[in-house]
Amino acid sequence: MKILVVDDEPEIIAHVTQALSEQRYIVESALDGEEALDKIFNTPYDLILLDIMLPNVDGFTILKEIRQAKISTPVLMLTARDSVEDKIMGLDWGADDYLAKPFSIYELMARTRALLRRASDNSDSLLMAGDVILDTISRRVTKGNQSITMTPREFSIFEFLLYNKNRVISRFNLAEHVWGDDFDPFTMSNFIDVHIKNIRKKINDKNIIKTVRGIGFVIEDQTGNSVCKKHPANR
Amino acid sequence: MQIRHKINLWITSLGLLVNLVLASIILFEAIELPYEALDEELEIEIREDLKPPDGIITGQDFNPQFFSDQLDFDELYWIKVLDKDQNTVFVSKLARHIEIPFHDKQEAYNCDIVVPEYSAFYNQKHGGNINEAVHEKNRKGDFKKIIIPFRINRFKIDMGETFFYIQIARSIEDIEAEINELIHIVVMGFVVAAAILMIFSYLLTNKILQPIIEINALAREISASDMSRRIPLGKNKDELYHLSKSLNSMFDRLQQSFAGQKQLVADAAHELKSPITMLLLFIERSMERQDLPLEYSKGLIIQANILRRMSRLVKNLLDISILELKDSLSIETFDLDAMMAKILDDFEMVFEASGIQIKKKIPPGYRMKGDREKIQRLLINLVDNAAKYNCDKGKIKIACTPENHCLRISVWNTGPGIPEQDLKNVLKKFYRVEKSRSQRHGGSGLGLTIVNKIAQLHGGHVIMESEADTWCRATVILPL
Repeated sequence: MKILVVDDEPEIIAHVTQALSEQRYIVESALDGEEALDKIFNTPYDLILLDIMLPNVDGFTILKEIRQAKISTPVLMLTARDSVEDKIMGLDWGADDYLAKPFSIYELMARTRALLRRASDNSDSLLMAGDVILDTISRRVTKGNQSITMTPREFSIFEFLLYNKNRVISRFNLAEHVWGDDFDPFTMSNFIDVHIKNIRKKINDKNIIKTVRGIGFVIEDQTGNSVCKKHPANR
Repeated sequence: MQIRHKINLWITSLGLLVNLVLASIILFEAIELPYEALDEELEIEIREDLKPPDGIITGQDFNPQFFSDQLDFDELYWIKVLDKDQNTVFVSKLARHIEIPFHDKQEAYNCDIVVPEYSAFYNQKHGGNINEAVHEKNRKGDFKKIIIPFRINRFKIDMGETFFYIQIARSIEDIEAEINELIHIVVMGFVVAAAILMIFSYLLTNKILQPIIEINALAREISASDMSRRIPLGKNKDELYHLSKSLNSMFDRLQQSFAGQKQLVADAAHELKSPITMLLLFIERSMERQDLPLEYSKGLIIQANILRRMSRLVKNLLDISILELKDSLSIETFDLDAMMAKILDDFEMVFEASGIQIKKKIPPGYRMKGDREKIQRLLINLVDNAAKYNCDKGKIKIACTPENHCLRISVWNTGPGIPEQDLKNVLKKFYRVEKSRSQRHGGSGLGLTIVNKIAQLHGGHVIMESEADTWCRATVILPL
């Protein structure tokens, strides 16, 4: 999977590149609009993370040009401008998703994976943890042959944790993801525990979602990888 | 008062004043004129008729028959002649029936005289002749008395050595009738003139104000919708041309400053949010490192939360700046009831955890017009506040009542309330009733400011009411 990150801040590119590389994606970057267009027209990417405010050519123009050139690579807009008009404009011009700065790396990971899965085959739409399978397209959870009914909010939390396997997700991140921008995540993060408790009860397995005291929650990959081995819960 | 009415009033009242003065002069002259003519008539009557006859000069042998011969000509006049010793020398026919006291005035004057209804005068006036029988009856007081105005004048006539006083009078009933008619006509004319003046001034005011009204409507339209439009300039370089020009240059500056502010908000968003993003990414990635001492990983969590608080604050501040730009509304019609139900659903956990009872009173399926995203933000902020600043096992009442010209959305909650002196200030930026309370709840002090701005953007306003330690209510009033 090849991802292009376009942003005028090298710091942001560095962090995003590092985080994506850890997930075994191949990441390239561009610091301005012209460079970005150059790369997009010369290399086939699987996903483009695109900032709007860029030197030379802005993100909206890039989006318009690549869509006019019939390049259908999924585009995730990253921007500091989060007015409704900007969002609508971006989505109208063919962006696939929209993430407002400042964003959490976990939110970025979840959206990246969701976009990549949506673009690829349906078989990729399944997320697994132990014997529990979550289908991101039909939005169903099954355990073995049994179907599990979850509320939209529980599903959203479970999906977010699965997208960020092996990463410890704070209550705050979960609250922000589930309730969105307008709500005060400081109020809502207190109620994440209740939802986690309900999910555990429904999947009837206390070990899939682990609590990391003082930090948050994590779903560990049973097959194991480098990140999870280092985790304090495993120490 | 509208300027239209002012101009109307001025033109009408000035016109009426001129009209009034003119009418008064005309009336005054017109009333005086017939009397002057009458006085002249009476004097000529006497002077012409009583030219001293030749040869009769001496007083003693003066024949009173002279007066009868000369003066008993007309039944229209009341004439009485006295000699120098105040003895009656001659009485005209009319004077035999009607008593008019002799007067010492030098000037002619009007006097109301009581006259028997069937007096000679009366008959004469109606074409009859003086009837002695009627006269007799009159003396006995058998007839009704009526009052008739007379013009009375007195002359002193020299007849050689002796002289006579002559008092002459004439009924002015007809003249008065004429004068009354004249007054009537003048008053009618005055009323008609006033009406014409009002209509004229109304039309004139319209004519003068029409271009101003047009310019005003256009200016309002421009400031409400499209700042890039301008008022078309007329061909004549008159005052209106200059007004339009001034307005246009004002719009230029406004448009520039709006664009400038928009650019500033966009720049600030970029310049503030990018560093926060970098810090957040760094901190989140550092938190994944498992080889850090415990105090450092705890420190990172705290820092991440501080950073998020800051990021939220920046977001709210930028939101307020955007809300101050008038043209950021996108109006649509949506189901307010459903929106509120969804928000309450999101808050369900919060209510459950603190045992808050909630009551919602919104007309089912009520559709309102407004900016959906912004109204949602407004409602969330109100409910969030009501939940945060509530007491344990408290209550929240949400009501939405469409009234004649406005929609009233009120959120009432139990709790510590807001002290009276702070009620006005809670809508201001960063105003907190109690610093510690707000930090405990994680608020930024901008929630109600945003509510207020959104209400203002929709042309409405917010009313805060509270009773300390008991309840608090925020009411948003939006025009329909």
